[in-house]
Amino acid sequence: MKRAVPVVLALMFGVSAPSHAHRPGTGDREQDVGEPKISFAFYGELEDEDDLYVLHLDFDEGFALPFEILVPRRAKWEDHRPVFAIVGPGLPAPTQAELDLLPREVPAGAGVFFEPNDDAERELIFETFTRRVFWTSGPIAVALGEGEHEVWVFSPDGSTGDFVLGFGVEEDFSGVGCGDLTSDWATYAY
Amino acid sequence: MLTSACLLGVLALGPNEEAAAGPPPELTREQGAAAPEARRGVRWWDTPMGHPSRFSAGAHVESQLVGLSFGLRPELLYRPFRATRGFNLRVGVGLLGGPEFFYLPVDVGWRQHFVPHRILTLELGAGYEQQSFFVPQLGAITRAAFYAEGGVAFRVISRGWLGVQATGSYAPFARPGPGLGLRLGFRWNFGR
Repeated sequence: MKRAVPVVLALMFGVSAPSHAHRPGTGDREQDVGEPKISFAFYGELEDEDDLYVLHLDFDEGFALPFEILVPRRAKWEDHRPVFAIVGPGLPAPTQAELDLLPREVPAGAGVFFEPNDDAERELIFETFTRRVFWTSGPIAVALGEGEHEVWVFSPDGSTGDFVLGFGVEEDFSGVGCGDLTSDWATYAY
Repeated sequence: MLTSACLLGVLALGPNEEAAAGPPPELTREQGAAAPEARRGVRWWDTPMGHPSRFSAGAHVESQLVGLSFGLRPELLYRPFRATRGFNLRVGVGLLGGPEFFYLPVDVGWRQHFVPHRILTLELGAGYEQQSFFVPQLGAITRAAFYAEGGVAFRVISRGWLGVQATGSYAPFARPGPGLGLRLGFRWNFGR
């Protein structure tokens, strides 16, 4: 009994590994995000080397938004490295190397923030809503100006597989009903 | 659903051992005054608090659907009031493993067995659950949650029930998230 007490306490208050909670969602390959400040996890699958997802974000005012891209930790996706590029006003001009990798032409007057997701050792996280383990590029805050932006998700090296794009800061799970979760459960579940 | 409810009601109205035994004999005023020990024998606190008849043990095979894992869920039930009634305090531990983590939930709560002396009983419960996830290459992730459960049990032998349950949980504080599991298992009543 004396030994059990510290074990129980350690389990209750033990060191916690990084874990995240975002509002989950799926959708078409090109879609509008109504409230980009809401913490959001967009689930998708890159099915071939030319596959591309485009999310449209519209800001009434400048805002620094954290982004990260995650891949479910499965052996078959160990080499799957999807990337994302944010295209919009006020962002730096892309380098030639970035332009060579981008799947589309950058609109005139727009800049690009490019996340190459090329860290040798990717961080692991435990997503607490779906109880899934992911590799993550690591969250990075990007200062976005007022206006329309696009987030492109693609795989420059042609790898295919599932991904999750996480962004936003405000926790808001209102409106996420059981129907939404159960209808898309095959996407969220292992 | 209506048909199922009717069937449940018919089965619940099965043999009733207490009714078959008849009502306890009534004492006259003189008999009651002369034999207070006999009157006290029908009170629930006459059964010692540690008597085996107050305890039940269960073992279930469980599958967690939120975060895939499978394993065992042993539990201990204690009836603090009438040993023959359905109000139970419950302590349970889960030992489940899956492709992404090992899961160790510890429950403390309440479970009610409705019509506990019938062949078919309805079970409902709720309580607190401390959930611990052990992920390879990550530290232990623990969180506080609350659970609710419901199921039915069928008495297969005099003191043993075979049952199925569904259990849901939600962790509302740090590291929030839901849980959903299904159990199939056996419960044994000690004592009488």
